[in-house]
Order: sequence, then C-alpha cells, then structure tokens
Amino acid sequence: MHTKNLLSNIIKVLFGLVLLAIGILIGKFYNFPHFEISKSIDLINLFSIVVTVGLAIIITVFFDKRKNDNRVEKDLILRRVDNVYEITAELQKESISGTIPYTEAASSIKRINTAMQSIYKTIEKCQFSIKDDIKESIKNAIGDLRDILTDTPKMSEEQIQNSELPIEVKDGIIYYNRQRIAQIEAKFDAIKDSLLELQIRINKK
Amino acid sequence: MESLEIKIARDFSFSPGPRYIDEGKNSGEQFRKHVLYPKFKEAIKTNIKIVVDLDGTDGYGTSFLEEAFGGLIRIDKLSYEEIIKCLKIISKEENYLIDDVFEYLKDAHEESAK
Repeated sequence: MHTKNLLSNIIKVLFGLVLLAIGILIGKFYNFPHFEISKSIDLINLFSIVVTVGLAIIITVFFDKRKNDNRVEKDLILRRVDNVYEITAELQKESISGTIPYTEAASSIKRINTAMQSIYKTIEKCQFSIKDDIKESIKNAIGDLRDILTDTPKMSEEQIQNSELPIEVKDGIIYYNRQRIAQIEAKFDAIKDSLLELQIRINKK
Repeated sequence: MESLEIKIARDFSFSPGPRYIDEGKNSGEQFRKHVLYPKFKEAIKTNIKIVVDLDGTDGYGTSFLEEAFGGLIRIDKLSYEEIIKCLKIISKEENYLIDDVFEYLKDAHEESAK
C-alpha cells in the first residue's frame, strides 16, 4: 500500500516536471501573435499565484476526501439497513406460510430492533442527523408487527378450543388464519416502506 | 431502598415462550406463577423494590410479557399501585419494552376496574 502511494506520487511529480518543461520550451521557441510575454514577474503577482494554487489544491484535496469518506460511510450504513431488510423478509416468508415457532418470531423481532439501534448509533457516530419522525415510524411499525405476530388472546383453554381464533399457539408453534396473515402482510409492508424511507434519507445526506 | 433482582435469562429461561403453560414451554404464565408472583408477594410484604432485568434473552413475544405482568393484576389480584411502587424494569437491549410492560399493567388495571 505504502509503495503504491510512493509510486503514484513519483509519477505525479514527473508528470508535473514534464508539463513545466513543455511550457518552458513553448515559451522559448514559439511566439504568440498579438500577445507579448513579459520576461519578468512582480513579487505580489507571484505571491497571489502561489496562494491561489495552494488554496485550490487544499480545497480539492479536503473536499474530495470528505466526499469520499461520506460515500463510504453511507454505503456501510445502507448495507446494514439492507441486512435488516433481509431479516424482515425472512420473517415475513415464514410467518405468512401460516406457522412459525413462537420463540423464533420473538427472536427475529429482537434482532430487527437491536440492528436498528446499532444503525442509529452508527449514524450518530458518522455525524449524519436523521429526524426522529422516521425513527418513531420504524419503532411503531416494529411494535405493531410484534403484536400482530405474537399477541395471543387472554382466554381460558376451554374458550380457546371453542373459538375460531386468528392466532393460536400449540406446542410452542403459532398458527395464523388467513385474515391474520393478510394483516401480517400489511404490517411487513409498513416496515419495508419505513426502511426504504430511511435509506432514501441517508442517501440524501 | 433494598431491592430484589430477577434476571429472566438467568432465573427463568433464555428463550421465553408463549402466554399459557398449555401453549408451550417457558410461558409467561409459568414465569408469573413460579418466579414473578412469589417475589412480588415477598417484596410487597417486606417493602422492598423488585428489579426485573429483561436483557440477555432471545426476545419476548407480546403475550409472554402481557401475561407475566398483566396477570399479576388480572389473576393474582395484586394492586396496581403496589406493583408500580415497587417495580423497576431494566431493558437496555430493547428499551421500549419498559413502556410496554407498564402499559400492560395499566391496561390490566383498567380492565379489572370495569
């Protein structure tokens, strides 16, 4: 890595020297019609040129580096949001099949939540600010999903057996009816919409 | 004020289950009956605080937490005020669960008052 940088710098210096040599040769052997080239330069003009060139280099290097760093950080954060999207998609696939182990549904929701907390911390570290409304919207969407996936009715065993319930748990496995599956789908859509909104906002930073 | 700590991952299960014992292993009902209610009775009697630490588990479903905490009022007939006075919840991993638990207690209190 160090050798590569050194080589790149040597090439840049050589290129600069070649350009300088070409400039001197053109100035010496070619006469520009209608222009007079002065052989002297005053000190203030020279200072002004040096300062202008110096500022141009500093600004270019500083802003390019900053822009580049921002892009890398944004890409890293967006990739982590993609991971949350994947966990959400896996949970959706399994739950809309109509059955899912209770502990698996609960643990997937926790994974989504903790991944989101970690993303917000990274966003803060990178000094991008994300408005609270999107965080609130994601939090509510995840909370709603947790309820619709894992909230079973408060009933006695007898009542449970004699009712047509949208959600039932037997031997630790949750069973959803069609109506509940449709509601679950709607909640997943809400989460995905909020995640997409977050990605768009991060990308605009 | 002295306190009594319950860490669910250590004192009950790493993988909390559904609402009722009949529905599967490590249910909220089981947790309430065997861990939470006996400790609450003791805490209320001796006037000490109960600290319930929710961290370190696989995650909680809504009905586990509702049954465990709401059931203290609905089934075990503890008073809402006494529970609120001596309960402290720790949840660093999923901090919104703290509000959820107090919401379940409030709902159970309002339902029982009807």
